[in-house]
Amino acid sequence: MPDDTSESRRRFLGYAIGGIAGAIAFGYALPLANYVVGPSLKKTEEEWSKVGSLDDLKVEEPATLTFSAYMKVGWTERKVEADIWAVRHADGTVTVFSPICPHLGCGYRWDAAAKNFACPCHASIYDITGKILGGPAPRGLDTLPAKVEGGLLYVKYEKFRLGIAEKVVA
Amino acid sequence: MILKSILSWADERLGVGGTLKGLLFKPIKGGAKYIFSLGFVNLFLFVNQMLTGMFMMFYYVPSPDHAYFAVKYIQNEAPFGYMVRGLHYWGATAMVVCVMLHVVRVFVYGAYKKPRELMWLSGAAMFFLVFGFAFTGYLLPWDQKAYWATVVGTNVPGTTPVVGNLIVRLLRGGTDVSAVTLTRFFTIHTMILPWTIAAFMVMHLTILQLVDHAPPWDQNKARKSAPFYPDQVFKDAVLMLLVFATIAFMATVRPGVLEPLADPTDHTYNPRPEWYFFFLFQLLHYTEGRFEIIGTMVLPNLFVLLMLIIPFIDRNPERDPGKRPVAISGLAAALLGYIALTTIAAVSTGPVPISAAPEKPTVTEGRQLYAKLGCISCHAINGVGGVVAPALDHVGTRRDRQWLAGHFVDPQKYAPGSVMPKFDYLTKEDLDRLTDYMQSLK
Repeated sequence: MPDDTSESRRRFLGYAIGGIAGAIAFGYALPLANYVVGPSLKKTEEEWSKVGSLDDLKVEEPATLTFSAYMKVGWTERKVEADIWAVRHADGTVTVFSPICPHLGCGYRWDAAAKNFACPCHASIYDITGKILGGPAPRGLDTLPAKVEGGLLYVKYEKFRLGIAEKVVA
Repeated sequence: MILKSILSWADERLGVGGTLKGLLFKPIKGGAKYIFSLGFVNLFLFVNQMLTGMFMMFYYVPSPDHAYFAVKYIQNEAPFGYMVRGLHYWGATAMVVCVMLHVVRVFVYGAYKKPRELMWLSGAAMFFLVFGFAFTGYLLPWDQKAYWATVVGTNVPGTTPVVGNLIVRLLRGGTDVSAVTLTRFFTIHTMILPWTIAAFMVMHLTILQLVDHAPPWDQNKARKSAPFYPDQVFKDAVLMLLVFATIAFMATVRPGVLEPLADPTDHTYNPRPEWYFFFLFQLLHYTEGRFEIIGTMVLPNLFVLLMLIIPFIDRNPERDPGKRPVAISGLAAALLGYIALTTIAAVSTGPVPISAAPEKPTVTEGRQLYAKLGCISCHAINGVGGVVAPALDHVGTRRDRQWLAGHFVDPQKYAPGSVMPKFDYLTKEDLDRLTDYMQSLK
């Protein structure tokens, strides 16, 4: 018959077994969960892409520029074609807009006669600085990080979440 | 409380509670012992391999274009990826060790004798399968070591008379280690072997319940007894924790090795197997020429055969090792031989390969350029690479220097209709390096 000491010994062993099993389960769960979830939550880091020459741009006249960017996804790297809207200013700086209308993602264009950007889908209108003038878009056009080096324009191509008032990287 | 009511709810319907309780509290003859935990530790390590293996498949692609970069991503970029791969890598090593210890323990206890012959045979099958896992898992990272060790490893059975060449072709899915070999090994490693070993595991554990474990040979010691739970389970858990801590520690301080991308043209590479295959590696040093087959086929197959028939040739019911001089000295001789061969291989630096005439540095640089420029996505060498463009095996014998150098700059001029991009932006030095490399492919 089990006496008190053997009963408490059994209980202690039972707890110890549970503790060890729990510790090992945690030892697996922590790395495995991070391993699977991590890449889903990772912010994509963009590289500077060469977009074109400053000479191609006329002052205060928006132009669309197409370029190739290398996108690294997981272990793959692929070349993607992307385009941007660029506005050169008199002081030599350039404002670069994402080509995606922040309302629902259509491609908008520059209306040279009206001197504004117009989205053909739902008629959102923006001025040359990207400020929203009218239509359903919740915010102005999204600017992209840009720099000019040696007469060449470089851009960090990013995508933003659509349909909300704040500019948040997607 | 809730657990208890769920369990009694289930038991009301299934009625297996009593049986399961019987198994859980079954008395262990001879009392709980750490040495009886080795089998359980192997089960734990198998679960470790399954779990980490499945998770590696989240990011692994079994193709020569991607495999290496996917493993690199797992190792260096995926969060805790080094740990997932490290647990698999060191788990494999631990499994080889624990499986060997388990076999030795069972042998010393005479547990292969009647009525446990089937227990031994199902265990022997798993023992061989573990080495099958080790061998097929090797190729999957597609690095230099993976490629070259597999080239050599698959050549070993090629020394068999008559059917050797056929075996090599069956293993590789062709004449060379290639993309087809990779998918083959991947399927064997992740599908065929796991299901096969799982079937044997079920057999092994079922038979264990039917024939019971082999108690100590000393009748006095065998009379002692302790319940499986918690006494033996506690010892199992402690050993499992120790093994887990060890492989996790090793995964942290000695992460899984990843050598440069496999290069089928780099004949200067001197492949060495994992330490547990050192015995075979070393054995092959001693058996050359027409005796080579002794090391490659005769001795390994003799060992396999011996393991399978030992319960039927050693039918003396005596289990006390002190009273089994032949069996125990046989075991000692096998162990000594294994340890000696492994040690010699470990301390020697290995032979200098015959083809080690030092390569021109420009050829090496050209090879690096070939990799960097992504030529491999269209061209193949030794069956590795794309199929869009002609294979470059022996291109050095087909084309002269002038043709090669000119062709890089303006492919269409030399091969009208070619889709190859112009490499006119390369410097003269780089073009020379690439040309030197191409010329070395003979």
